[in-house]
Amino acid sequence: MEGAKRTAFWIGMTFVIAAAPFLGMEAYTVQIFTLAGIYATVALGLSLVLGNAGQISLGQAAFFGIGAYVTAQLMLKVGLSFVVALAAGGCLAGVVGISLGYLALRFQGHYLAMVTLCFGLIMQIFFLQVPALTGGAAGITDIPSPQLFGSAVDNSPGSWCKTFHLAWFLFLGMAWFLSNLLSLQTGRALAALRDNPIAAESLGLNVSKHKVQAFAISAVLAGLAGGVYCVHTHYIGPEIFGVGASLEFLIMVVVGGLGRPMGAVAGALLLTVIPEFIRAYEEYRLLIFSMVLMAVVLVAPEGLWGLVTAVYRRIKSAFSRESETSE
Amino acid sequence: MTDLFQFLVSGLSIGSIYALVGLGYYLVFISSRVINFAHGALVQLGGVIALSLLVSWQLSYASVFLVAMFIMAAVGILFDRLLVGPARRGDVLSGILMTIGGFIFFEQAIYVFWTKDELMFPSISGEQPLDLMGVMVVPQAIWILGITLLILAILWLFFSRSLLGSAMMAAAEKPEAALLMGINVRSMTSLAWGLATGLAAVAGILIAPITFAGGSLSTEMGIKGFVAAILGGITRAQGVVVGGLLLGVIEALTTGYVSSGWKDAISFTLLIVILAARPQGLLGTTQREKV
Repeated sequence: MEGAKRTAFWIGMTFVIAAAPFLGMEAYTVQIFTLAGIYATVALGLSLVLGNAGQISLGQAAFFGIGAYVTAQLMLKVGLSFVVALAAGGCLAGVVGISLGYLALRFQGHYLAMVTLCFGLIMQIFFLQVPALTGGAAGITDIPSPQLFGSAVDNSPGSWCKTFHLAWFLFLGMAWFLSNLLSLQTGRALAALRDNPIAAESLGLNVSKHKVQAFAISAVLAGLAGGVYCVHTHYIGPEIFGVGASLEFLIMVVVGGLGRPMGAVAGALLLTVIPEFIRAYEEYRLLIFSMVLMAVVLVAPEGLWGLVTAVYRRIKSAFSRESETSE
Repeated sequence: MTDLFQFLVSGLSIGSIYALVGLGYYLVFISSRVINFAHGALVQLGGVIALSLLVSWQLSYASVFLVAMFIMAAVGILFDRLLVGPARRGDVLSGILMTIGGFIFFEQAIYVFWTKDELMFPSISGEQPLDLMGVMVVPQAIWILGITLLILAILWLFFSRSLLGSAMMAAAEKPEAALLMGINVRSMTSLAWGLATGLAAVAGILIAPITFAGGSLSTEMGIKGFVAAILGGITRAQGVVVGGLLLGVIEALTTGYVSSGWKDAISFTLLIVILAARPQGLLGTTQREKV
């Protein structure tokens, strides 16, 4: 996209998000889409690690949890405002992400997957076994809504600034930041790192720096999303941040489409919104999504968003060819 | 002192299970260069299938072992032929994603077609502990040790004495050369998968009376077996067995002397530390890839 078109796209998205919950959406629908926005932010970060840097992470829910716990506890125990607490949560997740990133430098492929999986499991045990910090098995309840100019930010019908906005503006801001980052040298460096790490290294690329950077960014995104999650649901507990959640984030990213923001959105919407329409089949949800995941890996490695863009390009080129012949 | 022996016996019996699960990782890895992330769920699937055979079909314990092994071997072979095989011909990531997809699928299949609860599984010969010179041992622990030893002996004979076993090893180590010698490498890969998931079924049946049958142990079983496999280097069968026993004993001692809540955290940390210190496993060798 050229400059003007890009700017128009981001401004357009801002208006869409600002207006969406007031266009006759039911309160419950707004809740569901808020959750989708929160998950889309986590998926966006994982998409960077998996799609752009080619590194696998099966512990994304741990960063999500760190962000949620830090934000909740700083608001409740220390009495900090939401924004400060959220920033602290994102920072701590980022610091842990940098550590995991450095550890990840030692591993590739299968081993990296196992190590990040173990990291996720250890963090879940930590959330459960250190009640002084995390509330243990009972979790943390009654997390307050953030306050903005004296009114509460939540999804109740009266509020003009909703958690919906919080979730999706966070996503939009991060997507904007990443798309700028990736259009710079970082994007090409990450692609080189994914496609041939040894060649990239021998051409003088600082592979380590970029790997750690990708892990850190994905951790910060998950942490910030976790912070928004805790004020959205007002409750957090160790069962939310387990391996199951990490695997769901993975499904979102792979099924939606790796390495592109719209893929993260597509995946998050698919896994959060579609199940609401087929609630009668709730118990089959993950069974079905696991089959979708395997099918996507086999026949559509670009993901569903990749399919959509491929079809769109086909149609577009078919039409332009027609107009050429008619001239 | 009695305490220590008690922990050692329970550690060795649980460790044998880890060894059987670890051997599954080993067989799949040497034959198709894939870490099968679905393996833990397959262990638990073997357990619940056996429970159905035992309770609903009223089969005898011995035939349950055989039937469950055959069913799980078929599941493993189909999983490789239909899904993992085509995926691993792509890049490493596709193989990983496919077996993770398989993990979620098999775990969810247990939840959907059996139950989300933890199911009681009858022991082979009752719960009455035996008194061996002051050390109390549940009979199931003896059965686990005995059956594992028997299986290890059969596997050792199979790989060192039989033509089929040698052919399988040849196909795993040098696929091209084996192909030229007239070995059907594809069948050998399937055989390895079938053996691996068959062993998973045995492990699932043996551990179920001590823990329980059901899907919720899938992740734990999967990781413990993997830790066993890499403790001794995933390319050596003897190493895998030693690794499994070692892990079982470490865990039993941690549970006994420290706390059971942190038991899993310790084996997971162990995995990260070992992998960080020796990414190729304790006995493996480093290979630098050429561009």
